[in-house]
Amino acid sequence: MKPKLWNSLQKLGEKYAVSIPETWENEPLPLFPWRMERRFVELRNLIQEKTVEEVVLGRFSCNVQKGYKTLREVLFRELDLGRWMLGTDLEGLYAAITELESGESFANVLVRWTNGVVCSIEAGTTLKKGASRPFLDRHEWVGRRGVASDRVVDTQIPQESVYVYTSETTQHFTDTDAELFGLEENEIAWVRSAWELAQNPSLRETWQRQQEQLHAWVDLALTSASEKQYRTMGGAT
Amino acid sequence: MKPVKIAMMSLTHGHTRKYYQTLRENPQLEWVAACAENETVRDIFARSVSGIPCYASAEEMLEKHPDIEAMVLASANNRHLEQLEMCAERGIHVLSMKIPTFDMAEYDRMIELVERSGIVFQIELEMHYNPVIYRIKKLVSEGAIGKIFAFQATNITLSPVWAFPWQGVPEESYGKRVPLCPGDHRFRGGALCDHPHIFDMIRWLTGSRFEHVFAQVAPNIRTDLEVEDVLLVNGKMTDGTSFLLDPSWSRLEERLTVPGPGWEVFPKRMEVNMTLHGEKGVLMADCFGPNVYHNGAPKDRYTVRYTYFDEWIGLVDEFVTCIRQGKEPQINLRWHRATIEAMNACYESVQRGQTIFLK
Repeated sequence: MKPKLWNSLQKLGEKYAVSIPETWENEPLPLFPWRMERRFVELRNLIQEKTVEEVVLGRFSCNVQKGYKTLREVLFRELDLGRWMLGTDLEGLYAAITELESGESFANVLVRWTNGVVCSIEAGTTLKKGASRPFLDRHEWVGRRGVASDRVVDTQIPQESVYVYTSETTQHFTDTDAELFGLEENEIAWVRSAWELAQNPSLRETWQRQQEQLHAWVDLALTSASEKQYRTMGGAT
Repeated sequence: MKPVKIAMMSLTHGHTRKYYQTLRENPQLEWVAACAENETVRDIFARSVSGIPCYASAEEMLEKHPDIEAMVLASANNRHLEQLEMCAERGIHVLSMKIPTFDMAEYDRMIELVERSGIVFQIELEMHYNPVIYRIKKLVSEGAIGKIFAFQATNITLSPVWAFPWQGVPEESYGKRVPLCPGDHRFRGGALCDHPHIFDMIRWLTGSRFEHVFAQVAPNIRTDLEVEDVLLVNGKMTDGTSFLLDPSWSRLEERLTVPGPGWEVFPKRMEVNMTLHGEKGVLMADCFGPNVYHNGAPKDRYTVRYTYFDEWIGLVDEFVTCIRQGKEPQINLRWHRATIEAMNACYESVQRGQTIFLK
């Protein structure tokens, strides 16, 4: 664990009187950092609280710059977000993957969840360095009552909280966590996920099992792509 | 650190419910009691919070809980002095809502009470604990845009008067009934009284003082209110920074008596946006965005679902630190006085139709 993440976690522990196991400093933890991002928490709440009712369709995309994450990691995250927000399991999927000589790759995936919801996932590692962020993503749920999205209507890319324009540069910042101000967005999500685990140690077994399940789902996507067939966890349909 | 025994008074301020989670979750606090302004408020509290005794009067609460160390004055503006007196004589530290009072003689009496009793008096200007403001302050301090020469900001919301009626009553919001200007049927006490943040932020970010203000009030959107709901403010700081401020209630609302889903008519019910023009660049900020968006229940309208509102965590942390370590809060009565003076100057400008120069 990076020292600054470890220090931040310890500070939270001290403030809220929660013990952080010393072994965590050098131990891989089964975390789901993206589940701690406020936008995903609220999208999930919109579904769970039935503000958006009877979801039928999801449309996800996440394209990252090469080296930021692997295609496997992107698929892992997006599949988990779908499962976690809906509170359901994977029934099956169809994946089409293109791999470039540069090492970049892109996957178009159609997913069916066990509750019948269908979801598209555009996942890639082909975003170029000219992009304003190391990744661009978008998540939308369509229900019989209401649509929910982490992107505002009429936009294609994320909005930011702060933009700074000077004659030399354009900078932007999005800060959503005053308690952990100073860490990068992905670092905050990581610390918050570890913090969740520290407060609820019993989650560890569940999270470990879910991680194993997700790896199997990603493998299924790779199999589907190579066989050009819809695949379920129980085998071909 | 020993938890601070804290209580809340009145429970009629729009920010009251923002404290519930923080008072429960912050291990440095022990929330021991509350008292409600009336039975209606008490009923609403009982539906929202369990396990905290809520009394019908402050006197009863203070008698039953002589160990209270700190108080959140979650009350109408015209109750603050009287409640401060109750707290100061018992040595109870105070977290006040954003307007201690608009009466400058009362304001100075409050300073005297606090300094004589030695209590901590912190004013709830929660923007100081907003992560976007942290970023803006950092960038400005580092010289990212150079010296600021122009500043524009909005602090625009829906009107809270239907849920918090005192905000539409001049005597309770402004402290007395003062006509806006000759020939106008409205009185001081509306949107301006609800939105001190941008007046405070320009001081905080420029380090400068108000030189003059010129304000104009528009015709009301809500014609049945007797206080102003839309106004604009122009002026300059003593360092030459010009500004335009919009502290209006320019976003319509459903007239709910208890805030809840479907409150907003315009998708975003509250925004604090700023543009800072510096000699080296421009900084544009949305202090409450981006968020997530939906058009689901209960009204099927396109709506902003806010993703962060945790300013109260930092605010309460500072309050506890000041109490336990004997420090003075950054937002204390003396700091905030110039902001209240500037807001009063805006009303005076509206009344006289003239520029008002601050001393």
